[in-house]
Amino acid sequence: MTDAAGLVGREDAGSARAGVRSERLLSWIATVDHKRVGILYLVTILVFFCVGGVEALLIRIQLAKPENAFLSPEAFNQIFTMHGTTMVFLVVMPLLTGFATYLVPLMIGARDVAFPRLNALSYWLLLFGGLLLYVSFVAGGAPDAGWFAYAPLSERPYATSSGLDYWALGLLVLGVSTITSAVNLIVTIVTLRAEGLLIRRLPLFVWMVLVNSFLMLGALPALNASVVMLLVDRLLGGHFFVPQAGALVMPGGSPILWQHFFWAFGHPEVYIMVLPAFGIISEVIPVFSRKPIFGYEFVAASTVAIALLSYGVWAHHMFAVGLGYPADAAFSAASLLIAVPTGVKIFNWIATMWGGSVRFTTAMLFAMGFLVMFTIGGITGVMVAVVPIDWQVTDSYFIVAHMHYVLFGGTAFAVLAGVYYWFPKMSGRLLDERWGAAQFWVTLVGFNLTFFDQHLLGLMGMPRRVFTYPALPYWGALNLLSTIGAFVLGVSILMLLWNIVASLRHGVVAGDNPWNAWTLEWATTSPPPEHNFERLPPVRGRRPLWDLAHPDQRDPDPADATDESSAGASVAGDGSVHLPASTLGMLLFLASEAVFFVFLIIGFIYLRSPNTQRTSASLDPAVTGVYTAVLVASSVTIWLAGRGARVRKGWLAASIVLGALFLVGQGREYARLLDAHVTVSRDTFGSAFYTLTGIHGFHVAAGVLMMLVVVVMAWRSPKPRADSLALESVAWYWHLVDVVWIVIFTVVYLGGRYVR
Amino acid sequence: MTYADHMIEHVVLAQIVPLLLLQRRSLRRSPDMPAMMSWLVGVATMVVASLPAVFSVAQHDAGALWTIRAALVISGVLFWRPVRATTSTLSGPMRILYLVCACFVTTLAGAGIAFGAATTDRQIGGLVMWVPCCLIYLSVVLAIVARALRGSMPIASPRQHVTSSSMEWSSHATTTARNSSAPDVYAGGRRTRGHAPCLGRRQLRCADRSGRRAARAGPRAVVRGDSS
Repeated sequence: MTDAAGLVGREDAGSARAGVRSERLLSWIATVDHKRVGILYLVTILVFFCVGGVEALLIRIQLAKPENAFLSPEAFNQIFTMHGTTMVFLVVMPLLTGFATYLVPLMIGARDVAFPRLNALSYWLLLFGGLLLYVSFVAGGAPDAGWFAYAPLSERPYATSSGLDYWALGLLVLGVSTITSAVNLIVTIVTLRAEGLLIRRLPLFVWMVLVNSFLMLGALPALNASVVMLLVDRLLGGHFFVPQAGALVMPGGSPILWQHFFWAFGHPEVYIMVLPAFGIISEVIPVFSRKPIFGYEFVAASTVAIALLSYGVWAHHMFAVGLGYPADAAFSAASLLIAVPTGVKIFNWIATMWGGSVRFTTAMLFAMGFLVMFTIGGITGVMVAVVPIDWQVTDSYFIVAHMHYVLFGGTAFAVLAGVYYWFPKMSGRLLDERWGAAQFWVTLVGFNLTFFDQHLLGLMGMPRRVFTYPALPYWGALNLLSTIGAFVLGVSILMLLWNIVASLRHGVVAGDNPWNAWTLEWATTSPPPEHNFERLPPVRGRRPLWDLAHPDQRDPDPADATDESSAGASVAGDGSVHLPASTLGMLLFLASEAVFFVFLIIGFIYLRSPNTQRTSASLDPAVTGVYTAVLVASSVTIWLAGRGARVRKGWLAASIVLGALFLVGQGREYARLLDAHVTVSRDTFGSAFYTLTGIHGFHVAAGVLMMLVVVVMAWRSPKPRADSLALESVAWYWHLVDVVWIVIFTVVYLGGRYVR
Repeated sequence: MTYADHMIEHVVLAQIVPLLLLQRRSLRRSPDMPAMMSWLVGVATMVVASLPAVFSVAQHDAGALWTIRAALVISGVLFWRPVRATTSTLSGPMRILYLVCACFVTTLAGAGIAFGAATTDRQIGGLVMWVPCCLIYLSVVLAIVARALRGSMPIASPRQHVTSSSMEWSSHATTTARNSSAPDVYAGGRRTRGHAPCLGRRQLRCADRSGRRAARAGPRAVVRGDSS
């Protein structure tokens, strides 16, 4: 604690001198400390949040009265697109990643994340991805096709500015950032837990981050694949999502494919945006109710249920498309099903408060606000899961209201609870509770004033994304109310900013554990030292600090008995993975790569049609078969290279040569095809073929580079262990590249010829 | 028999029947086949048997139909054995991966059939392979997760510690003493809403009050505090 005061004092003194200041700036830029990276995340996101908020206010000013002319239709389209994109990709998603980056190592008693440099990379990708998105404003116009960029509106003929190119590139960068941070968090949680912190004793926030990271690994590749396809369409004249293939009158790509792909990402995304919020709530409510969470197992397991079900409900965003009654019915049923584990969680939290000694701190107020607001959003969600209701209200303000109740009333309230709860840990000072309570009430009133009326507007038929509307009865009044609410909400955010600034300067010094909480992050100083912990308390249950303070009333651990009798066996059965962190990280990354390729291959199969038969006939399976054999052989050589205690450089060199040979073969094939006028822009086959094989070729090239790095390492470094570890990761990568190629060869070269 | 019936039969024969058969412990002995093989056999049989071409063959040829049925049951047993085995080579996370991957493949196949279909019958068939089939996998995944989370004992253990507020606040002194450097937030003029803050000098009064509350509530207070 005195440390914390000293730190603050040191910072004051440091800011006096310019030299020290620039050094400090450099130390922030070069940092790989998860706490600093986490704070960079949170500060960056706060800035983006304010930008997105200003965009929201512009939208609301334009809609304040009928026939308003504050913004032009073009500007309005750009602003609502950027508002949605910013809030989803630059605020909500990374916000939770930022919290996780800061808190997860502390909550599991680790010194840092598993890959600190990768962690810093994730952050910088986020920042530059966001900047890339915002450069579009000065580079010829921001994207203007809505946050889900439905094709064909997002295609070159209909979105002529470069805005959507920036959108797609920005999202690709953000997608990579999210996947790297997901890999990092999973490996951290799996390999770096404190002794005794078994998977079943994880704090629920950490558990939800774990599940959420898997969700990201499965969902983000779908977005990346579809964004790559969109870029091929827009920049290279491809035909994935344009219904008509160029000047030739032939069936082209499929706009529906974009919808399927986008929502295959987009619905898990909804849960990606809300699961960590559940985690925050599950930390805050027990601490301020002075009771352990009610039904830990249920909360944890139902999270897995939500995560898995979320992959199977995407088409409920597409009821109005006309997928057919059976499909609509099945997706409706699955969507209703997912409401069950979510709904019961609400009861878990209520039951946690029941009979507890509730302390109405600001964090708790926001958590309780979350319960009510999120439930309203959930109920409207169940409503729109019913097909006829969805048909009635789809693309109306009802959906806008529903979505904001989930994302603002849900996630944002939870995050605000988290901010008030963990700010003392991060800064060493408490946020002012009086300002906090005032902010809560202003937020609550402003939020409901803004969005509750939108339910009514939606039911009255006001469509989304219109830049203005006629003076129909009540529309003007309700919209005006909504605009007033938005400004109240804006004031509440200013109050938060003021509270942060003021409390950083004059806030009450927090001490290690101001809330008398139970998880490990409160067992160190606030803010924690660079190495996080001087000493870790023993972990024998889900609430280590409670156990420490009340040795006679320790939480019963359901598996205590088995632990003591067969400690080794129970650890193995607990989910410990006996893999080096680097290998585990690579395998997780490869899982996301596999999903990415699956989506590209689905795209290829989906777009195959009799009309492209002639183009596909120009492939030569025999020659490519030889190169396929070359690639498969390289998998064998890399396996041989890693069999000894040291890296066998000869076999590795052979793999490099074989990999390079494959690339030569692919280059020759491309040259031959281009001679035969088979290009990306020729037809759907051309687009899909070059995208699939080109991206695979890029992976082969990257693999060859990685192997070269390992060869150089093996030559120069005296540590054989490091080389073997590196080779193990690279070998796994290389095997995946091979397997993917075998699938591509079968589908593209053999499938079109012999199966048909 | 329609295609949809055919697919419902698949789910029953390849998932439900094997799961019921595997209730017999003798069938659950450690599998002698590598898990990857079991997975491939199970999933491949499921996918191949659902191909519309195979269905049309089975429609006209009773022999083929019964062969398919037998293959589904046998491959289903092989598929589920590593998951249900009493002493398995598969760890918990690997069992989850095993099932999630199977779900992924049947989802792809089912979605392919459903969205590539011209008739409602085909659509329903594809959806049966996709949704109910995956739900079975996911339910088992959940069972595995739940078991891992609660260790080996049942969820509701008979005797839990008492966490009623009075207990906690009265023993709070130890915590405060331990964190003696931590200032008292609530006593420092930062009043919270609701009842009076319960730290520092006010502690006695507080404990007293919550004790009274507990007394007023009678035995129910103990029950309430009993949640795990």
